Amino acid sequence: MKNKKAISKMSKMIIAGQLIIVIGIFSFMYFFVPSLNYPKNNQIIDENTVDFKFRNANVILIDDNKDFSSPREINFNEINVSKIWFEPGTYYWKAVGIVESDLKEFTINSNLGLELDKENKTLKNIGNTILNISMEDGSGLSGLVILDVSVEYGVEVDNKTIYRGEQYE
Amino acid sequence: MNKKIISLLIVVVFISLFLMQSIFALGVTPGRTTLDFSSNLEKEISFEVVNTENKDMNVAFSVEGDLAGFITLSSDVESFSSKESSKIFKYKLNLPKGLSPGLHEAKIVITELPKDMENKEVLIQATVSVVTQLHIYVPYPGKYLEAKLDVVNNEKTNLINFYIPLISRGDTNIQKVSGLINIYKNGEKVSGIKTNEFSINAGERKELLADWIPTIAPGQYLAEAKINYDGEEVIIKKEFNAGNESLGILSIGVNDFKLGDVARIKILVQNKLSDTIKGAFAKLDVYDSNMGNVAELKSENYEIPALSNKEIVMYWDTEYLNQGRYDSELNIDYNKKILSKNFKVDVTKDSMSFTGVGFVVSSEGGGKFKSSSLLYVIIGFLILINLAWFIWWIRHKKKKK
Repeated sequence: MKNKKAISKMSKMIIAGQLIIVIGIFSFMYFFVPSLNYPKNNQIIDENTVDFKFRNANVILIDDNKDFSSPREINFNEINVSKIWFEPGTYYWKAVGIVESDLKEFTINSNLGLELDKENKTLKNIGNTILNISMEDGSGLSGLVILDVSVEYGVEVDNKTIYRGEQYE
Repeated sequence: MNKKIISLLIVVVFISLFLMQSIFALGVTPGRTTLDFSSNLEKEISFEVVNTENKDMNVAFSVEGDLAGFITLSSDVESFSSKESSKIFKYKLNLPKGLSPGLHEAKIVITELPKDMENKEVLIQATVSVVTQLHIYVPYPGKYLEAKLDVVNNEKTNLINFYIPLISRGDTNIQKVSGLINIYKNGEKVSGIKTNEFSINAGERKELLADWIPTIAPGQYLAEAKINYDGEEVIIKKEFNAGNESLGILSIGVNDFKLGDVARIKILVQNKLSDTIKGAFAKLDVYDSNMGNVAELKSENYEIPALSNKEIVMYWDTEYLNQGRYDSELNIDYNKKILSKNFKVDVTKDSMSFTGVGFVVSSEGGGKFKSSSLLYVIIGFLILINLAWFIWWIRHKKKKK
């Protein structure tokens, strides 16, 4: 009878111990393991800036390689903005707190924009990516200039030319 | 009097119409869609055309490139109203059973046309077109590696980091990739550095790394990277500058500032080269907390004598500026290079101050546990504790018996 009581007491202790450990693990996971909220995995972003949302960390690592061999480290203790500017491309990111989070992938879409100002006789790259500009006229298509973001270039406009902008490289 | 007002209105309307038509602008996103080849692939690919000027216009679509025959556009011409800032379109891709190895391309050309025109062949004025590209990579038979070389001067560690991003474009996995980087000055080898090594699967992207402590005089050098993969070799070359950056920003500030006045921003730069830098200029972009553009400033062109400091001046009209903290990016453009720094700009009634912020480039992959590995450790620990409990309980039970 005494043995049964002892066994029952022991079982209760085992269950209680288990419960404490499981609660401990979940609490640890919730309070200390970094979690990444935004950008989500495989998210495609049309803007050049990314407003990172995460918790349980102040530092994030960003790389264009999954193996994080040359990461950019951003310490949000040192800068008080969470929006970071990126060139178009695919990136991987993870947060570093007491432990490291898993990685997530996001893509910054390239936005092409070309403006022809007939008044000022200029072409301007108004997108977020370097443009290869060519001109199409009666004699066919020929290369003109590589135009960096926000840069203007003087052109002739009194003709039937079509100025074409496409992603460079 | 009335006649005068009417005449003035007519002139204003004419000027507005003239100005409205003087700008042609068009945007498209994405600029490129990249896919891996898949036999008989059928796919709809969407892209967004942006009516940048928010005006009534037509856009004409056409396809070029070696994949043009596998692409079907939904229409040749579409119209935009001034209320439509952008529209999403789709094209259909029907790939054949096979294509030759390498890169294949299609270009969807979008041309701006006047509202009443549907054919770009009858255009009588200059206009713009933008392109959304489609890139399809067909794997090469066997092992094939695509590589490029990036060289980064790390001022914090005084190291030169060589990064070689690799993409395995073959259809076979590569067991071992490694690299040797030779550094040359005027054709003579001055140093050689080995990279790390690893395996790389078909279609995978990885990066070879090598750090170098430069033991040479600052200046321009040539790096030649020989990448060996399972007995085959790729060689890539790149010129780079060893030593410190050729230009440094020593200070940035504004004296005697009053909100509402034109601020005189002075940037002190140092030319560390033994040559004069010609045509250097500074650009400062200032943003609010929503990343909205507050100001775009540009200086005149400057000549910075060799091994000396020079003050670059920019002017900022702060008439409509509010007090507060702003983000900014300063770019010094020189010798076809750009030196870029980020600053916080604090503006009060009678002061404007700049505080440096920026990114740190780390070459370390991070030595901390991954959460998944930690979880396994904790689960293992839990199992051990359970086991200990169980053994203790069995022994206790036996003793009682």
